[in-house]
Amino acid sequence: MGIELYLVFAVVILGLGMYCILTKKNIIKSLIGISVMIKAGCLSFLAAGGATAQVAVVIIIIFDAIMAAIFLSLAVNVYKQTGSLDIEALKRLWG
Amino acid sequence: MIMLVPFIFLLCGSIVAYAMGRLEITLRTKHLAAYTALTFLICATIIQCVLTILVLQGQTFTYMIGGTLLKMDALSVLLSMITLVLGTVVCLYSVKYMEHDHGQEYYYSLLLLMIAGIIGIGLATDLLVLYLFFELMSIPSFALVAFRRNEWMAIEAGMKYIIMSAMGSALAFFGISLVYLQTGTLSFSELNGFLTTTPLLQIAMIFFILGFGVKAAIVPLHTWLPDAHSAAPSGISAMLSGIVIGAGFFTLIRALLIFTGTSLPVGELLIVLALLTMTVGNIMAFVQSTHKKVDLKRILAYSSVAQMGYIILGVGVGFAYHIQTGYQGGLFHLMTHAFMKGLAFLCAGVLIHQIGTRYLDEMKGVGLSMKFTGFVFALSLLSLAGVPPLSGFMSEWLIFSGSIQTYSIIGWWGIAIAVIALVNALISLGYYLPIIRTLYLAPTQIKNSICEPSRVMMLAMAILAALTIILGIWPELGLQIVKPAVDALMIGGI
Amino acid sequence: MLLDSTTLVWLALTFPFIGTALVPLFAKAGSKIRTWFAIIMGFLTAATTLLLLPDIWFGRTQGLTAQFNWAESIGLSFSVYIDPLSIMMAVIAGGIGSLVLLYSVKYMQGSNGLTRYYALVLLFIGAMIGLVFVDNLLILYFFWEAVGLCSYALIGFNTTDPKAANAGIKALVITRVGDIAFLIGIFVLAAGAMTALHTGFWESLSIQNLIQNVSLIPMNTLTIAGFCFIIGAIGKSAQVPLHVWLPDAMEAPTTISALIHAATMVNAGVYLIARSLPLFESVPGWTTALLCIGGLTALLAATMALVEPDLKRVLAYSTVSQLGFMMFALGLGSSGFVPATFHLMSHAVFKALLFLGAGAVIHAVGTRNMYEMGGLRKEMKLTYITMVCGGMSLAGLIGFSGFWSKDLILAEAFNEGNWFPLFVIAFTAMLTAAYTFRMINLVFFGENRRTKTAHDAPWPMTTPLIILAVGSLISWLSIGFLVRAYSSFGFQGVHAISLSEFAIETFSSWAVAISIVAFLLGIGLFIVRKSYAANPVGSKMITIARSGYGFDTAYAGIVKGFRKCTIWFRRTHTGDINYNAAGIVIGLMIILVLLVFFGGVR
Repeated sequence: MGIELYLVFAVVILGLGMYCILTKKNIIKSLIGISVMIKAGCLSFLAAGGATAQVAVVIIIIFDAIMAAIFLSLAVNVYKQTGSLDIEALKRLWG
Repeated sequence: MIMLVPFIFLLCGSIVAYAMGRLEITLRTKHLAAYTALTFLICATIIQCVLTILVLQGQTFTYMIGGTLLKMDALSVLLSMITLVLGTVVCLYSVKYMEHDHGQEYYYSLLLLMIAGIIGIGLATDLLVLYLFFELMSIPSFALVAFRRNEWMAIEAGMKYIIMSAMGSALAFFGISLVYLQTGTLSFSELNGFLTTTPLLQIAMIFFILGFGVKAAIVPLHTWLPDAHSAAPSGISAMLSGIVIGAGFFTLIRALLIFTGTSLPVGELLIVLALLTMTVGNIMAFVQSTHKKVDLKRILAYSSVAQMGYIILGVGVGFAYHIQTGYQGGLFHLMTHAFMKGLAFLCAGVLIHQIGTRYLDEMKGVGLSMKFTGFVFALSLLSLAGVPPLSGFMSEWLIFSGSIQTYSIIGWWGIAIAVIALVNALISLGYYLPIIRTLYLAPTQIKNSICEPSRVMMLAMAILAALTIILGIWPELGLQIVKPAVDALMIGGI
Repeated sequence: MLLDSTTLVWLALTFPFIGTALVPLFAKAGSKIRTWFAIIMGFLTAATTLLLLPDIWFGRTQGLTAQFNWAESIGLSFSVYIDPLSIMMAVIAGGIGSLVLLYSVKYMQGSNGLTRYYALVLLFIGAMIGLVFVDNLLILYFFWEAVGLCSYALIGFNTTDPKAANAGIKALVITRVGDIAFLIGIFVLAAGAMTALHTGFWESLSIQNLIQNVSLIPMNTLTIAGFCFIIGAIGKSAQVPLHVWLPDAMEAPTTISALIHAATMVNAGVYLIARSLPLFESVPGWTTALLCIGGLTALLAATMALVEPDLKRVLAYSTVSQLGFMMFALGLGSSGFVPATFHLMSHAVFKALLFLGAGAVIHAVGTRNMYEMGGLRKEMKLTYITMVCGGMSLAGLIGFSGFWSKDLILAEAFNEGNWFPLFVIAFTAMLTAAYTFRMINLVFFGENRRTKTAHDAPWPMTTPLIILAVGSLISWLSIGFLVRAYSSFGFQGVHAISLSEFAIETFSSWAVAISIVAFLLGIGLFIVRKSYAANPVGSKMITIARSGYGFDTAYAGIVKGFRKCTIWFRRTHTGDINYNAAGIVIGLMIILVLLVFFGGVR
């Protein structure tokens, strides 16, 4: 019973993260959405328990952090060039 | 232990190259980081060659590290050979191509790290380690796409790339957690062939395709690719298009192989997605020529989407119906595509570098003043278009042969698959040939100062061009590495 | 003998490729050395194929086979099968190829990129010989595409001319349409044979193996494969409706037109159909389709040749028309096999001669428009005589090889007893005579409409002309050997005859009257041409024929429509990050739909 509850929560979190990326117009919000999605994976891993799960969660947190660092450095550059963090500005390349 | 040498070499090389890059700035010299990285890469390649020969003779190397097993088998040898050859060539090319850029120390250490990640993907024997190396490959590639971070194109492309890729990674990670939840293990040797179909595993499979599929540029997850591959420095474009998307797909196969024993229609899914991918890729590459200004690298980027479609089709056919020719074609195309698309991007880079424009319309007649570059570029494009006697023909031919063999299993659908794939091959002529035409038309606005690039860059391109021709006339050279990998896939990839 | 047949086969297959590989190296040593090296390689190839000829035609070696493991890992072996048909094709490729190389020394002098030219011509000769020698259909396809590549690269040889570059692309794309159908045909055939004969994939592709077991292969497989092969052949052999690339291909240097677009590559389609005739002959409607396509092509192309002002394009349309004759003959079934291949041989010789002669004329006059020539008879005496030989052979004057082969086709159509096709083909023979006379008249007779004075070409150009002119007079003498060699195929209606029997048989049939009357009527049509053009109906028809019956417009429309669709499709790639991310949701939905769909599959 417990595992299913965890799983439902994990799926809900995953969906929330995805919703955030799909609809929000701010770059930082996209980053938050991604982080939330990754945390959903962590949660479902932890639901299963065991040493492997803990290793996995620790590793993914490290990767999440590195990814966030690169993401933010890009966001800084976007801000420098456009003066805002609006996703609408990132539409020059298309088709 | 010896099997880890190339991998460790690359990790060490990454650190040393960074140190040398710093030293280069202090000493105000040039090329220090580049040549360091190149040395490490060449050493790794030589050792890998020896290992490849040993593995092809039937030896398997394993190494236990902290409870997880790393294994060098035929599949990983295939991936590492392609990566190391292409990586060495790209590094050689970058020595001159990147010499005026700032941040050499980052460039080379990230490049080596990315190559190390790809080699690691081949070595992994459980899902978590696979994922770990997958991320080790992805994260340097984010940084490398946005390497010229004062150019808008690079920033926008990097942003799109990172958002899509990170979403994909998160989904794949979730999928892995579901497999773990269901089975309590992540090791391939305990999973492959032992699974039964459950709802959780079904969802896990979907998440694998969606998650790793982002890296493999499966339509409709490909939207980041044309931006990222055209905005990156050309050497990196060659790496990304040549092998990183291939490695993404390789990860996907490795992950999907755990479902071989189940009744999930993995192979059929891959076939349909492959047809979608190649069609969309070809149409979008074709439509580029209707733009006001035709971006050369963007055409090549979309052509990568289409070529991924061929690779996926070959492997998917093998996956679904155990057709050996399909696997052979798919994996051989992975190899030939790495070399020919790498070559195409390196040539495009040279043109952009020497002429100072990325638009095809302003490149009229460059083939007449840059004879070597024009020739090898035409060669790579013809090979991509699948014209004999070049390597692209051989591998596409194998894929088509594989896909038609399904006729004996699924009847007319098999012919339909082959027809769609072949019509795609026809559309692709519609954008490769005009590029060649433009390169050799009478020049209108070319300055006289256009000349061939430096000899080092020409050497890099010559290596890939030679491989493209040799693999076309003597495919056995590549197929010998492909064949054991195919045998491994036929028995479930353990 | 020192050189046995197997050695000769491998030599014929390797000489041209060695030449291709080494031409760029010899180019470093000097342009003269390179050129003569290429020519020597060409003549060596020709010599090896000619040395093979006696062995096969005198029946000393029957169906020689040789094998070589090309790619062991996938079980792909390069198997060679030599029989009279393939050796005849190889001799045409090697012989005319070497003559064209010799001709090129002077003709191409001073052009840019001659290293590329010689390398590609040698590659073409090699690929063509490979195409006719191999037994495996997929390797045949390899060479089939390789000759297409050479044709593309040589049509666009003058790269700075956008017209030539576009013509090259057009040729490759349109033949690719046929090639795709051909490949599908191969695949379907292989798949059908795999299940029916219980062989592996690669073994099931052997033509000889397929022919031997044709009765076991299911009919629906044969039907699809047969019609796919026809589409492939009409692409390569420029039959209606895929003929539009050949006239445009005349942007190539004339030597290339002579070699690739008259004598060899365009015959590949006819060769393919002839080769697979035993396979598909029993397919209902297959031979009728060939008959219709061949007859229609011959007729339409002849009318277009009649009104074309460009000398090379006249010859191109005439090639299309003559290829239509061959297809028509094959459409008569196995009894049409000898006429078709016989006509292929005589056509290759006289059409190469006509093209090379036209090349000499164009070289001297500097234009391709026939209305700007005229009166060249005196100034270019040798060219005049040789071209008249070729022209008379094309028109079908008694004694020239074209007469014998065309008459054989008419005789077979006559024996068939079906009057409508016979009428169409006889009418076309009449038009052939008419446009040949028109062409020769415009170029060599009449008043001088030129701006330049002309003179005969130097010896490297005239030697091939003389050799080919002699060839167009005497090549029909080989019919006795040809038929005797073919009798080993076991076709019905093919029995060994000697030369004298052939001549007697020809003149004892009523068909010879048809061909003579058609020839004379053609002259008559030529004489009344002025009054016909003055007639309003006639001038209207001339306008329609000049526009090429609208095929080009239709194809341009298709490309334009496709382009419009793609531009519309481009809007789906907005570049917006939210939309990009939505791709994951779309992907999820696609996979779910597919899962539901495939749920019932397993």
